[in-house]
Amino acid sequence: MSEEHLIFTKVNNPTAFRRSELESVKDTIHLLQGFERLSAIRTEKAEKSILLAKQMKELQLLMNKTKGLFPVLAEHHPAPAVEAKTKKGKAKTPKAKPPVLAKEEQRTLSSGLAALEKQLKDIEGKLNVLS
Amino acid sequence: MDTKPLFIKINEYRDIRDIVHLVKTKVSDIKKTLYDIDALKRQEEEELARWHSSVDEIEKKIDVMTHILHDAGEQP
Repeated sequence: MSEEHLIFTKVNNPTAFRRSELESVKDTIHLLQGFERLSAIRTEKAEKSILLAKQMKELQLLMNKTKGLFPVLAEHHPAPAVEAKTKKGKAKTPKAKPPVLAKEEQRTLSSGLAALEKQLKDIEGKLNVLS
Repeated sequence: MDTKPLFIKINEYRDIRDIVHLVKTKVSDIKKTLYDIDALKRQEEEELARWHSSVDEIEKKIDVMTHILHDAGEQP
């Protein structure tokens, strides 16, 4: 197209247009700065979460140590009562169960989550004995 | 439940006491880390809120520009 045929249109408020354009670019830059800040916050949060998991594991180790040092009382007392009951009833059926449970336990211990589930069940069992 | 007194060897008692002290320290460390995570979460939410208002501002300015361009196009 030659310069003779160029058509122009009048912009009535060029200053407002320019101002809006520049301000929107400025806001976009602020948005990108915010993105950088957010990335930094999320990185720090992830690091803190890893630290928290580490601290929780250390706490669990300490708790297990106390468990090992403290004499086991609650577990010993109810055991004879259970045996006495089984002797009165059918004696052979309960003996067949433990190997099946052991196999199931080995399967479930494959993941860390399953191991924690098992620990929770053990503790709940012990708490039930205490109450 | 058995309420008979319990006797613990003195060295084991000391070990337990020391470990309990360590547990207390560890719990306070965990509380601090949780507090830090909570603060970071709040910062994250504030940043996202700022994003929302920035996007709203940009939208307003684009509307102004669109109106100016529209008015220019309407002229004979």
